[in-house]
Amino acid sequence: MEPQSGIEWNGNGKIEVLTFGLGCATFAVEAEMVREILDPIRETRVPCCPYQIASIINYRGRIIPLADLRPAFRQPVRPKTADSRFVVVECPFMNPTQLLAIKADRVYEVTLIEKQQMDGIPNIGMNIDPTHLRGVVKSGDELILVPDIRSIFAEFCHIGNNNASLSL
Amino acid sequence: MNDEDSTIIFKAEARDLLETIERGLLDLEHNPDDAAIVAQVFRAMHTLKGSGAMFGFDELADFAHHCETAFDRVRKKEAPASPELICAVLAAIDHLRALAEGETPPEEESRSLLSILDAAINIGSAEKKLPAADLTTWRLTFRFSPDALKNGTRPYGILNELNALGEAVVKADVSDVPPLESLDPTRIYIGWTVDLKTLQPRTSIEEVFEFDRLNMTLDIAHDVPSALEMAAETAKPPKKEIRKDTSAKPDEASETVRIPAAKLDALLDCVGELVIAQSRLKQTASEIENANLDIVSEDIERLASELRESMMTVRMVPLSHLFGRFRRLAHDLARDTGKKIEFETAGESTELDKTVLERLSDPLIHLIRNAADHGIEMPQERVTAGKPETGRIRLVTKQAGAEVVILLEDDGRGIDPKRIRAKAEESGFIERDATVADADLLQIIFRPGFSTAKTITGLSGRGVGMDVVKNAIEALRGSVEIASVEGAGTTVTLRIPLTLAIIDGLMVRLASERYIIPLSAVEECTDLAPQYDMRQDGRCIILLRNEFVPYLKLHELFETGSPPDPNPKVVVVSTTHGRYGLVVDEIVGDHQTVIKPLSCLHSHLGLYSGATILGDGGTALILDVSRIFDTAKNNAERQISQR
Repeated sequence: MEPQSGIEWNGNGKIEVLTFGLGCATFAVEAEMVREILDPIRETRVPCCPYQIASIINYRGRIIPLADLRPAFRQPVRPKTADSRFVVVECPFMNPTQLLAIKADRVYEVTLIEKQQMDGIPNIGMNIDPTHLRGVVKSGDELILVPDIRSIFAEFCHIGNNNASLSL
Repeated sequence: MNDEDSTIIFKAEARDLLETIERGLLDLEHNPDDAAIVAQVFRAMHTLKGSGAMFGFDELADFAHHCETAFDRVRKKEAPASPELICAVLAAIDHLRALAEGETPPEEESRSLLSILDAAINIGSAEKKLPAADLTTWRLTFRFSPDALKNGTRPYGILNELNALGEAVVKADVSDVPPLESLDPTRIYIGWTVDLKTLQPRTSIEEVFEFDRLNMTLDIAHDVPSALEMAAETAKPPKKEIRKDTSAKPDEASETVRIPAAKLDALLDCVGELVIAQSRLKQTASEIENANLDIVSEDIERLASELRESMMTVRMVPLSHLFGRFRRLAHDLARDTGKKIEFETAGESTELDKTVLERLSDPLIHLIRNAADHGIEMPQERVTAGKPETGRIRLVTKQAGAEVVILLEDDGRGIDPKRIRAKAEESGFIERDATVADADLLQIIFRPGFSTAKTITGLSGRGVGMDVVKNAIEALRGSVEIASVEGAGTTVTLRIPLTLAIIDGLMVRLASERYIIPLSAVEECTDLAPQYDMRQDGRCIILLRNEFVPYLKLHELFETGSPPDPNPKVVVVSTTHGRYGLVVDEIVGDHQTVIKPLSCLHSHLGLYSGATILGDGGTALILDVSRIFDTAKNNAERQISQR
């Protein structure tokens, strides 16, 4: 499969990403999307809500969803550790742009990845929904997954339902 | 300021001006001879033309110019403000509105509108002759304040306009022009003397200077027989200042500031955060026990609460913003249905939170359409029924405590309970021959998919109706009631809370989480006595002062996974579907709740109307008690059908 488009490589075919770990996998999101990395703060459970988005947090006076990517990537859910962080990212695909906090078991670094490192998504052997990935990156003998946050959360996203206008 | 900003400002200004013009026109319908309204409309049209040209909306400026010219004839009493003319200008307003929003309507539309306008202005104007005026010579001596150019004064344009009034002899007074080295090209050093021979009255001359009067001195002398030796006279600077009374206008303008709503929302967010930070400070101060810190903490508390109060008032907008639109709607409805409708409003100055106001517009439009379409009868039918030919729709608002009450009354045919009944039986809403009180029958029209309209008109009655209104009003945490007397009319009553931004809430605890229940929905709180906890029997009902009240165990609905408190509490809430109890672990107490919206990932869940931030920095969800009731009801129905 061809590497997914939608990644804005710079002129030299590179892009800055933040890498973080969930379970035994490593993920990368564009550094440009990342607003802040938080130490875990108090989260509030939202009852009757899918597990992936079952909490909210108070992020500087705004209420934002706290998402868990682990179910989408079949990673075990483990209790918080001293290394746990919340990565706050901007989601421009939600209109208006919204912030989303993502749980991470640990945050590694901000690094450059190159277009040549990018690979297509293996059709077998991944055991995850390929639509949840924008691509994989080979880094040494490690594999970094680039999640498609839009596709993962699209199904939960209901826009404009509350403002259904009157049809007369 | 960049181009985009200025375009936004122009659009906002244009919207206001068009609203002013529209309001004026609708007023003129009742008082066609009111010169003050005519002048107001003319002035607004003139300003629109001017700013349109300034911001590069040339097509709009050009079209507005034609409207202005047409209206100028009304102003000069050369043509009457006939209903045809008012209709034509109203149509033109819609066109202007489209142009102002940057749309490009087809050119033919503009041309046909103008020809309608021309036709309308010529009706009745032929027989009206100009008041016979003698040819008079006026001597005008005027001088602008030196920096008038900065304020937009264009002497050349004024001289041209004077020239258009009659035969003008213009002489410039250059005695104040300084030597070239000290000359500032942006200042006006020249005064003018104009001998104007004209048929027009003095007021027409004064109008030429209408927009510049504050920046100038003007002397209008009557009956100058001919051009005299000007040099000698104009050497003296003119003295008289004209018309101080217009000065109120610009002052008023400079005292109001237009702020984009988004900035206001951001400010409200800050205030909300401040309130939260303040309560944390208070908590910390009480732990540290330092007198100085306490004083600061109290000061901050007072300031924060004052700031919050002011913020709330800033967000309040008078309902008159909506009413203008509705008058136009009523006018158009009367035209489209061929009915005679008089639309009255009262209480325009009642204020509501901006967000609430915006979301009220659609439901009210729907109700007004209903009243005009289904309520008011045709003139002939009304006369036969012994009513005045003209139907009346009244929109009355008043503030009652923390609510705004909006009444929409019409004196039409009312709602026929028999028709509702027939329709309700047909659609299976009620059993045939069931005894239902008339008042209860009326409530059926709020059910989804109910419409009694025999035919679908372009206005209303497509079966999507009152239930949408009801949902929209309930989404504002308001309520809607309907009352009707057959043959005499219908009254719809809306009750809307003043603001959506801050509510009084009751904080409760469930397992380790806290939740807010809007206090307005809470009837009472009580212990859940063990004898009523008859869950083993499958019943969840308590007896409260001889009435059975069903209750809902939030633990189960919310799947908290922890055992309930041994001494649970019941919060009895009332909804439009009746009252019920919510069982919680603990009642924490009153809480001033700043409502924060949930993201689009959570807003559709429906069980929560938002969330709030608590004093300790944590968050709590605000429960939507009527939606929770619906969910519980659906769950129960599903269980029954599965058995």
